Amino acid sequence: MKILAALDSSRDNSYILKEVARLAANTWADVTLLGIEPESVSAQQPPFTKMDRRTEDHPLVTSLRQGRSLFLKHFGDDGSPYTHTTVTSELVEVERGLWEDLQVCRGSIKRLNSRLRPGNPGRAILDEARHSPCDLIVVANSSAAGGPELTKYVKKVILDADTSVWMVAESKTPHRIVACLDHDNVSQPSLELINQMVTLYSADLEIAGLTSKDVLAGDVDHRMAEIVKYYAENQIKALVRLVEGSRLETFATQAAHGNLLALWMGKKSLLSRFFHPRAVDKLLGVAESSLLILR
Amino acid sequence: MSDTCTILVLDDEPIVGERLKSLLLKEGHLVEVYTDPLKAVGRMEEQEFDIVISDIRMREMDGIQVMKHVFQKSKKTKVILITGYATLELARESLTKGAFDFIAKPFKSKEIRTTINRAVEALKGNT
Repeated sequence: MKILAALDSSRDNSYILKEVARLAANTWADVTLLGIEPESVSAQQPPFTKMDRRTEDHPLVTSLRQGRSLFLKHFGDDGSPYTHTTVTSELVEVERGLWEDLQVCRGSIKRLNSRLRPGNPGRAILDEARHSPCDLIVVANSSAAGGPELTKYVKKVILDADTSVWMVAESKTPHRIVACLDHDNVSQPSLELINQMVTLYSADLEIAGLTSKDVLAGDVDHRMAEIVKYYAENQIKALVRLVEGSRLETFATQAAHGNLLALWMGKKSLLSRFFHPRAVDKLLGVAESSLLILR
Repeated sequence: MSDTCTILVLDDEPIVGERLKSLLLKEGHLVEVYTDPLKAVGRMEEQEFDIVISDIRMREMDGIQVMKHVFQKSKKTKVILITGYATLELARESLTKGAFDFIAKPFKSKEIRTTINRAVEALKGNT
């Protein structure tokens, strides 16, 4: 598994790092910590230049390095897959047209990359996800602090990313994962991501199937039974409930309270037909909720 | 040794095995896919494989047990364990018992390709 975690230099990243480290500890994922900055903050700071890269002077650099330390602290000295044991030579472009042969320390088993992408944060995250494809993008819950600009970039990532996005909330551990799944086209990686979350939190799983005038409840029942069978074969008990398409928004907003809400929003998803982008705003506004957008 | 390896893939979800088979064949490896751990272990009694990729959680036998069978037959085989239900204890146990790598689902083709390339290098004695 590959995880891309966005660290916002304008806020406390400790809770997002804690959750990413928990998931990474279980899955031994390759992890990229991406330093980003909201534009309102970057306007008050000196622009990041190549001269800043070796110093702790720039807030973006400080924030990223603190984030890396916090992440590694979770693992301790013993048994971390990210322990630096392998030294390799890598050519790094330090100035345009100038390459330096650097000795680089890599994790012995898994990779932990720390990267910076100053500028528009939404674009920075999406560009990084395109540059180094990952299985999961992790962003902070925008409703807890930060205001409208944070919401804007989180929303952009949630709506435009090609991969799954986990919006992490600073809240209690979820005891239930409520997964709204399209019965026809749910991707295998989405089912697998739910499995990992159920294991991570030792959580109950509730699966919501979508019905509408065009889709008979009996058909949905049949297809949901296949998903339940999949989980049963993997020793996970899943409860099923059917939700009328017109009630989806209300259902999702209510389910987001205190649970981890997982929404299948792949390209072929029926959910996107019922679940309008404005509903994402509502969900982002629900305090203390974590949201997993599956693709 | 050449870069072409014999690889046994074991996962009780057929879709995973098929996906890996198609990827590994394109890389030029010789691949056999099994969904039944007992049949896979039986096959490993007949033939030594360079690399074994196994799911961990299966009904008849778990991936750690499969790994034990592999090492009884051949110490140099590289075992890559994959799982959809990863825990910290499982990851540590896999590595301490000799797995070459531990990969959690979901994963992209590139991740498996990179791990296989590392395993091939290790088999050649380069790492």
